[in-house]
Amino acid sequence: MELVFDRVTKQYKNKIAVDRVSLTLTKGVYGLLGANGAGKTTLMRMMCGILKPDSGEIFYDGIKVEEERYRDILGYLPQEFGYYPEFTAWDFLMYLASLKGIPRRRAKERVLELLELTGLSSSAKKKVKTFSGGMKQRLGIAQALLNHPKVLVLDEPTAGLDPKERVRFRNLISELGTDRIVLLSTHIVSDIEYIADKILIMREGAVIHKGSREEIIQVIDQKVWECRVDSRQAEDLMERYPVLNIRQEEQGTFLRIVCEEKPAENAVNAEASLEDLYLYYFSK
Amino acid sequence: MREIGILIGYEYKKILQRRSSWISLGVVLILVIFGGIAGVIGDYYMDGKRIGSNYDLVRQERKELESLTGRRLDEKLFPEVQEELNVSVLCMMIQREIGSRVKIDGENFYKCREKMLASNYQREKLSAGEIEFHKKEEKKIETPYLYGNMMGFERYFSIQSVNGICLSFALAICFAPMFAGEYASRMDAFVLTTRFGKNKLIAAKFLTGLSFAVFSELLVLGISLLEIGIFYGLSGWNLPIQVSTTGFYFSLPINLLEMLGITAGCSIMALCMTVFFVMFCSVKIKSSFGVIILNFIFIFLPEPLLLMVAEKRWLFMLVNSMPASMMEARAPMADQLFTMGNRHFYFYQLIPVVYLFLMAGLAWRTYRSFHDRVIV
Repeated sequence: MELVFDRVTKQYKNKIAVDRVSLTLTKGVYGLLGANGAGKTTLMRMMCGILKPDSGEIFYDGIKVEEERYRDILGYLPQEFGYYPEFTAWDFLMYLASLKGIPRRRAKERVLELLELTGLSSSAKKKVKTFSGGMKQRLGIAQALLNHPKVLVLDEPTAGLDPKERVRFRNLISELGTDRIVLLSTHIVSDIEYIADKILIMREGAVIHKGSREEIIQVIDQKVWECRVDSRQAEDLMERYPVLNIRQEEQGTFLRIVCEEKPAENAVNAEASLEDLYLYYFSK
Repeated sequence: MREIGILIGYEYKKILQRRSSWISLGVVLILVIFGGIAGVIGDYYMDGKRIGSNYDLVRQERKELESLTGRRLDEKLFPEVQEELNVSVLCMMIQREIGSRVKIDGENFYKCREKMLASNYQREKLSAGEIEFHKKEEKKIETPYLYGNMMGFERYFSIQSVNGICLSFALAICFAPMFAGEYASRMDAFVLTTRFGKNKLIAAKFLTGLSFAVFSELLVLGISLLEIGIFYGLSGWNLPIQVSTTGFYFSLPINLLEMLGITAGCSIMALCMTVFFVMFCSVKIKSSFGVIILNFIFIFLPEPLLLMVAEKRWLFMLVNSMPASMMEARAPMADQLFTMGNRHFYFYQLIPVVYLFLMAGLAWRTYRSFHDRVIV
């Protein structure tokens, strides 16, 4: 099970959205991190065959992403998606099941299973247009899982979910990652921190880092500092370094900063987190 | 094939779940029902004086024509029916072409009709080959004409164009969101990443369009013929088309039932062609509303254009070949012919074949556009 990106490039007019990305993904959950416009969604769309790279190729075990055989093992949740307003959740999933080539009887069982899994069983016969944002998102996740995909691409899957739903979703993805390739992008760093086996960091169309959480965090190891300073010094530090956290306290201003050198006399090293890394990369 | 069948079911579901589809199809149904019975509603007046109801008039005329079934329009019968509506209109048509002072009777009726056709061919600027062809065809028509009740068919031919055009409008509304609706509802990202989203789904959409067009045209035909059969009668199916005002100008040696078959076939093909054009616009234009407007123009345009281009032969051939024109009873049998070598073809013989090729071309372009759709 191997998904290969071979020097994939995509350019929109003067902007290079994805720049010669070469990657090999194997079984597991991959978290894609990057600021807005970093090229995450473009990369995912190319991976799903709905956007053609200007150059380079993507294939799964030798199958090109343009082929029907690939779409048969693909599950995709787009960042923005719609629905047929008059369809019920049941109709919607049954329709997508038939588009995915799942025989009717098996589709019924699978749809029941997924409605249960996403907590939508009681709303199965309700029209999708009456659903809240979170319910629609869960329905989107359910459709992506209909065909037991070998490659699951989730673009901002946790957007709109409440904390309880997010935790449930994280657990679900962790389970799914054991026997397939899961690639998910999100702005919620903690989601990736909890679920992803490997993290990919994208910046200006390129994958600048790939590795486990521990490997990636090493980049800012010994570079995260916490200190309490007066307001004038705080302003000065905020101008000079990426600030991860700021809190007004009686004794002064508490700051958590990423920087190479000790930023203040009383600054102490703190344990780095993925969020620190994200801010370190993307506030530059 | 089973998978395509299921997908066709969902396409029908999508169409029939839209309120706009029900409203447009409902309006067509009302118009079709009204078109069939309009001639028997209300009263008949002469010089401001009520003579009777239209229903009574139709019933009486039907009775009289049916009593003549089996007789031929010869010197004997002509004086008996000369004052009746049908024959008097046929005589007026002749006089309009060759001069109103000509007195038409049972002896010169067929000669006068020949003169009328000759004058008509001249006015239409037909080639010598076309005129020769029509003359040969004319000779195949048995004279004196078999006579009887042609009212039902006459009525059908007069309303079929309105029915067809209304149905085209309704289908433009129903099918405009076929592909544009996928973009507008942002379902395209889902469907295009599924196994059948780039192949069987598109085939299912085409087959939905075809089946919908055929079924709806057959339904309209069935309703119209049922109503017309009840009020006007269809017993004159075996009469030559030349006894009807619609077929009087034509040289085709066919009966009224055969003409009904030809015009219905052309209407079905024209409707299918319209639906394929709608779907082609739908895949190219993101807004369903834009597709509807464009197709309304496409459907409506031939009506005024035909009058404007009657004198310009190639423009006439082009406009008369458009789907909305082909839904009119006269268009498929127009005197102007397509000539290939020594052979001549009527519109109804060639245009449906051209439609098949055009539909295949549009289907291919539509398929490619949706298959290669890029989501940015």
